[in-house]
Amino acid sequence: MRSAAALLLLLLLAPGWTGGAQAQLAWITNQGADTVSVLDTAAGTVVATLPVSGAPAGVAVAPDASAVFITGPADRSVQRIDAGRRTVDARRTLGDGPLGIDADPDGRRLYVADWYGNRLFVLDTGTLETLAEIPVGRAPSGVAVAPRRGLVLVANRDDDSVSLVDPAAGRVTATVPVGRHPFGIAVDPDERRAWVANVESDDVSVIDLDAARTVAAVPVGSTPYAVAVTPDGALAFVTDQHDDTVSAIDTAALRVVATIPVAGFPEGIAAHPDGTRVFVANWFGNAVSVIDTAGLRVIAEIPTGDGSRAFGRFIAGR
Amino acid sequence: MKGLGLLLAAALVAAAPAADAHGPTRQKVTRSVAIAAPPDKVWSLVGDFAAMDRWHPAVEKTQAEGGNTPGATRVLVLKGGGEIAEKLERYEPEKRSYFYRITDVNIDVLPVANYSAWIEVKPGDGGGALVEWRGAFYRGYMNNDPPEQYNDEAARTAVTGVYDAGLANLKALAEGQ
Repeated sequence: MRSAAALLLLLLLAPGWTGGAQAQLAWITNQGADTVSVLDTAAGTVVATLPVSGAPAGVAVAPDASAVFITGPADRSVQRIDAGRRTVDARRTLGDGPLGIDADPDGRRLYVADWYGNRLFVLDTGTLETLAEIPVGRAPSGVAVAPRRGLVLVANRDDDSVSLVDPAAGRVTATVPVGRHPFGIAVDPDERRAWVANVESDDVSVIDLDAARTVAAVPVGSTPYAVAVTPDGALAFVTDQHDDTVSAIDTAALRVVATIPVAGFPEGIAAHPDGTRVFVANWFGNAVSVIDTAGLRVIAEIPTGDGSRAFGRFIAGR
Repeated sequence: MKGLGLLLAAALVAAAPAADAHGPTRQKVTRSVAIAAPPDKVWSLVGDFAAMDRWHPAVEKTQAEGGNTPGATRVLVLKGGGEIAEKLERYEPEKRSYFYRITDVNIDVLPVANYSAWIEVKPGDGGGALVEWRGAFYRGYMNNDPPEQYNDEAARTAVTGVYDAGLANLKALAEGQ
């Protein structure tokens, strides 16, 4: 019931998502191997392994699933993968340490956090040229677009804050204090709230986007790293890096309803657009764990490559 | 070189540092050793967070507080000078495993940052044990363009040296008794 409603909602809200075969793919950056594993999420298998560069970390799939963008912090690169041909078709160096990345549903703009440069780059998805460069807080990491609000959210790890950025105006409109060392960030589908994993305070901050302030802190496991919200907004899943678990949060009750063991050192996490499964990249386990969102348990573990990170929205659809 | 110096000098010299990358990325090292002794016996040697000097040849003494309860701390005083402060994060005797992290270390003692590690004793072949030591860490120099002695390669080499020396001595102790 949840998935049917979610799918309908998704199709109504996201005209850019084609629902074609590409949407069934997950793109996993493997930091140690310098590769991207392409997972068929329906079959639960790796269908291709692509060579990339720069100890790839961040990843974002284009709204129409035609391209995938990754960051290579070790060689300061942003790379674009042609999703159909499964090859890197554009690449540039950028800033001091590109890390978090997200693609605007408008299909034209790409946002990249520069960890060492304390700024957010706005890039053209076609040319990868810089459209704007916006100062944010210190050590910006996770990036999430809230398209209907015209906002981009950036977690500033060393400032314990989240910047709400208006990319059109090229400036920060609000800076919201959160927990200690925020890293991954996600916006729920109705863009009412944002969820931020705080690595040092072992909790998730909940930001009310109307009020532009933190309204709750939900305790989770040790060293929470990244967050994914299901398409119906009912559950938020958080990777607890040092506990080798994923915490599932009931977003209405604002509490953890399940703690799910996964393979070692979970990091990147993304919900499948049909809402039935959540995919987790395990950096030490070199595998992706697949969580059934109804049973709240792991139903498959798929070997990927060394150092699976997949920090970002690595499955198409929102 | 201070600290683990003598022990690690050979390993550091032997490794040719790679052409340097720019930004730091998290590194990992996994080392293991097969020991011809029952897992419980090996765990009795290695499983006490408060007594690393019992089995690691680079550790002169362990100044510990809190025993084997998560949150416990220890300071490893190294032979030849240098200290490493650590905190126990998880202790799972049923899995013969513990997880800890470094809370303070001078990068001239061990060139790492944000270091965490697991030690686990698994059942091995023929009633023996397989000990695995897994570390996750960044290089000691967390900004761009590190000096050679603080780069990714130096960090991996140093951690590998620590693990190999410890596991070799653990094997000798467990098999010799």
